[in-house]
Amino acid sequence: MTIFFYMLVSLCLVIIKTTLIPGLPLFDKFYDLLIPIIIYLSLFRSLREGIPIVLFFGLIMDSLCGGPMGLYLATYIWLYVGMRWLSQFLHTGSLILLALSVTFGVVFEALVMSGYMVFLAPAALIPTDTVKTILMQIIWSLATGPVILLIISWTQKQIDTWRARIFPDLLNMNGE
Amino acid sequence: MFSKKMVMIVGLIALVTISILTLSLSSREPYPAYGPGRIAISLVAPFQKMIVGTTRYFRGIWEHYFFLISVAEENRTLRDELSQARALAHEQREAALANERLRRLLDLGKKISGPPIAAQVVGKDPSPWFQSILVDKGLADGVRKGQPVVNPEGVVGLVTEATARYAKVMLITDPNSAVDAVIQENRARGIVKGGTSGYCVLNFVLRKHDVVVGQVVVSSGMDGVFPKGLPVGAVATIEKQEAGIFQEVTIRPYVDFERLEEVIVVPIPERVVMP
Repeated sequence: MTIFFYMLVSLCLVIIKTTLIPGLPLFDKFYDLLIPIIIYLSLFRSLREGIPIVLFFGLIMDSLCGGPMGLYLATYIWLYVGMRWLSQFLHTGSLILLALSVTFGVVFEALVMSGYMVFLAPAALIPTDTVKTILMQIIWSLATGPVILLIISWTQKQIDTWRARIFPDLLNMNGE
Repeated sequence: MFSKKMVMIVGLIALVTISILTLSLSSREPYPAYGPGRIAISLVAPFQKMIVGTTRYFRGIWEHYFFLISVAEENRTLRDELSQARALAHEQREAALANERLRRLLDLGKKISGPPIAAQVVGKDPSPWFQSILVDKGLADGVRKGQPVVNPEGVVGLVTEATARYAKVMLITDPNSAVDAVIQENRARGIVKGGTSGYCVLNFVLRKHDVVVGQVVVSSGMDGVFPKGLPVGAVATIEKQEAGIFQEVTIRPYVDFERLEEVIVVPIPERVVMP
């Protein structure tokens, strides 16, 4: 159920990002909204839930964006693995740390994209507004990252509560 | 047999190697003809089309109806009559604008060999690092990978992937895009590359050519993809370094990619369509 929920959310976010957000002023350089979800999954959810969702996110983004197949997939896997490893050493309850973790994710993605343009893309030019894009994304992530993480956390709690309420009923129905 | 640390190091090395190898291979053929990409496009594009259609409808109402109604509030007694008239005027104006756009598309179609395929933009690239759009015509309508996409203002981009009903178009502002072009006045040749922020760069223009701001850049037709003579943009800035055989020319595309709504996919002979 959690996996299905995140897949649905990711599709909604991608559709919003590709239809509504480009028409809004100041939002044209908005950061990747799937990053906070990946960070949340890496810090707070199990591998069993996280890995299929991260793979799904990567495939969706690779399919819809103009880059090569596998670029977003690799970025998301690395971000997920890296944040999961870092969570062993960090106090994940801190709001400041959560805000910084979203910014870290945004910067990491920007570095991967820039690295791709420089080292792997056949004759691609580094976008002239790379620095501006990264700065705008950092500002946006600092401003909205914690709020988005809190919304995800709250929604996840509601799902968990809902699931806990439904499954005992199902168990009772089965006479267990 | 192996320590946990050793397994982690080996796993890490394997993951790095796989990532670099996969990206290197997919960079050579960035747009696979088959695979999950098509499924995702087919999954997302209908919703994008629905949302874009709804947004345009309400934007049209907002821009041409409610805004005008708020101005007309001073004259309350005439409001009902006025709003009806304006609603009708709005409909007629939208129809006239659509008519004008479609007429220009048809005129453009006459210049193109083969029947052009008119398509509507349904979505934009989710990543700020790449510049592509989704259009509502696909394989079933005759759209094929590698076909050029234009509109009455000029060159838009290139079809990079097509599903049955939708297609992905890489815009000329994408960092991976390249269009062989010439400056119309002095025939100085170069390659138009994407630079984002709505601008492109005209690479490999020799220093000996006198380039002036405002000169028109058109497709040369030498790449075998874009028809010759299609407008690409106007020269915006020129920079000549102390050394080097080329000059740096920035061009402003004629196509307003922020407000792109309709495009034409140009059919080209099968032999030049990418496999």
